[in-house]
Amino acid sequence: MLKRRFLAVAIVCILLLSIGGCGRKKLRVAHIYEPLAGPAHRLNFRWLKGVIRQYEKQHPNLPVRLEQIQWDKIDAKAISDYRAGVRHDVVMTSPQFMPQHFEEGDLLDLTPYVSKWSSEKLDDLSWSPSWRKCEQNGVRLAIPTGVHTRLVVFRRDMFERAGLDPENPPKNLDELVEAAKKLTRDTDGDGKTDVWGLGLYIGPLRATIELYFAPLLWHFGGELYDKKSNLAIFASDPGVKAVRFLDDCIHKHRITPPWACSGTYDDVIQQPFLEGKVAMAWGWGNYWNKVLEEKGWIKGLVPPTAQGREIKVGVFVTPTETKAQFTNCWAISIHKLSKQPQEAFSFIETVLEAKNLEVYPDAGVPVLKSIWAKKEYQNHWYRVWKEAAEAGRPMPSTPHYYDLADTVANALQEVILKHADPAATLKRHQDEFNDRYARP
Amino acid sequence: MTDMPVRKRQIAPTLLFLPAFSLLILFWCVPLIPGLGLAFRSPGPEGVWPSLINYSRLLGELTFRRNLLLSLIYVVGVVGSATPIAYVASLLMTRNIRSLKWSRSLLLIPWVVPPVVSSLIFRNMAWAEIGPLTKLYRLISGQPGLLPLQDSSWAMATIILHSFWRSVPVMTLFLAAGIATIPREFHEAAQTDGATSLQRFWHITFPLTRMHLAVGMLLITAFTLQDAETVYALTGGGPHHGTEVAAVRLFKEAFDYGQFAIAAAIGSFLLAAGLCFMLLYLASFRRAEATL
Repeated sequence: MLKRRFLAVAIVCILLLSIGGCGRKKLRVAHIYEPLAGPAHRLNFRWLKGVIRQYEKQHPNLPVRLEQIQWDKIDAKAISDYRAGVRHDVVMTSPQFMPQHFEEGDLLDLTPYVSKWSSEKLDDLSWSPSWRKCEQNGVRLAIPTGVHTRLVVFRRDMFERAGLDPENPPKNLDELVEAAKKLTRDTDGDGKTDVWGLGLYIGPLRATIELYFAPLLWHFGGELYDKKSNLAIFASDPGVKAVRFLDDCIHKHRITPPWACSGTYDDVIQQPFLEGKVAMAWGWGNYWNKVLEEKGWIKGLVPPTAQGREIKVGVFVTPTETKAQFTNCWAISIHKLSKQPQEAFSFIETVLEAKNLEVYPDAGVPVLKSIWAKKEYQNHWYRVWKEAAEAGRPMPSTPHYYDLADTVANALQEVILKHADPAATLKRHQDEFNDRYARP
Repeated sequence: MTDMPVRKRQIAPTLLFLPAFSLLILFWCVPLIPGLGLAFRSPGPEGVWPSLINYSRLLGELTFRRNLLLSLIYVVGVVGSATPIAYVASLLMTRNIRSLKWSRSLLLIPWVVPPVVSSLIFRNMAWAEIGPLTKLYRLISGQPGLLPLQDSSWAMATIILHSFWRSVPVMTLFLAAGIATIPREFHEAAQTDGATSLQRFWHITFPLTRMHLAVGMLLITAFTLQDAETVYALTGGGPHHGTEVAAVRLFKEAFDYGQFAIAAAIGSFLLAAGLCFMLLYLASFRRAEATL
């Protein structure tokens, strides 16, 4: 009997405590997680916990509640939660979704907060392409926490074996194709290619438009989207040239593996490069550099040290006219439904402290100029990454970016896999996209 | 007998049925109605209601008609291949063969493996030059350079094969349960009358397991129609929309494009398709029952 009473009292106490806990004011921070990231995820989590501890020390009456949302769904979640009336305070966001956030109105305008910053602080942070993308029609929706950019990584030993100078990598597309031809090899003499000169990805995912089609389109003088008319405009002469270049790499020059049109970006670019099946990997992201360090292909570069050097691999900026590669970041925003925007911005400022940003595992390359100025970054490796970051470009300002990316990927696959006419195929896909969204 | 006792007798089962019915209303109808309502709202944050624009847009789209066709192929492919194999497996399982006893536990493995994990395993099996499925497909097709995940037909075949692999255990268990309920005397009597194994199957086993077959087929149809996760993990709907079944399109519209109203409209098409299949199975079951 006594036992039962004790149990009942304990249950009531737990219920009361949890109800009390729920009612307590908290700062809701929605951060990203990647279920397949493994140790990388743990590093991010550890970093985040450190930032939260720092914030809670400064705001003892406002504990932080961490909400983890899958990385590629966090923007959609912020929007759907806004529609459903579900509140967050701080939300991680992606620059490519800013037009959609702007249209939906789920993020708070940070302009009044940012305008209070000193010009030095602004100058330190506002140089990256993502900074510009995080502002839509004069409304600042987010602040970048890092820079994610891409370039071409290559095997120095393979360059030497093919009679190429690793200190003088390709500077334009013609040189790139010629180098790739020399690097493509049948090592065991069975008539099948074992090492491909150039790794490209033309699969069903967003990487296709971001890392391959868009940089080539910009190179040939084209654009993906016209913001004034709200029309996709990729089916142009430059668009056709871009598709032809990709198609030629696979079918004419045979420097790119034919399986580049399936699987994921990791399957086609990262893994084959690490396995030595690809000599130059176009679209190599800075988030993969840690693996190079772990393999011993670079030393003392991730994390950066003054002694850092390249051992087995080198990097060069995408050799197009514009040198522009898709560049984005994880940005940080305040949800429109936040009831404590001032406290939320205070959390953002904690995140943006140089000492925190410098060690943020998901930051990519530094977003603060002051970090770039440190001696650890004064080497060839980081000079190239900085050049890539400065030349980088965001994706176009359309609220239907994901659909645009799928449309382009499908058009490219149709041309490359079914040998469809490039001009007609691009036009058909473009019209379908414009019919769906852009025409009144 | 007066009216009162009859009415009283009707009240008791109704009351007993009420909790289950309330749960059905709560978990099925309550989310379904706003979902269907959303389908009649024009896209965008300030969408107008009611509007048929989502339906007219989808029906006017070649891609969506293709999505529906691919869903149909997917369902027919999985149900059509899993049913006969599951029937054979269930017949073997219900026989008292000692060496097959362990198969009951093994059979459940495909069903307990998380769908995304098994999809990734199948993707690796059909990946580039090295996958065993690639080699098998090359042998079957006689195309030495075939890359299955880059060819819409072979990619679709891989998806069907994967779902077939997952569906057979459930179907087998359903049918085995049905076969186990058939009294042994029926078979013994038929055997005494000189009926062959095939005749016994055709005149005893098959007619008496039709209901199990209908329910099993309905379950597999529902799973396959709604299956977005395995297709998405295996092919992402590619190459060039070649495996983009309606459920994948729904997933993309809702979670990639943020077009919830369009996604809801696609959901209503899938619901209608599920109902059509259900009516078809039940009608064919009843017709068969009437001929008994």
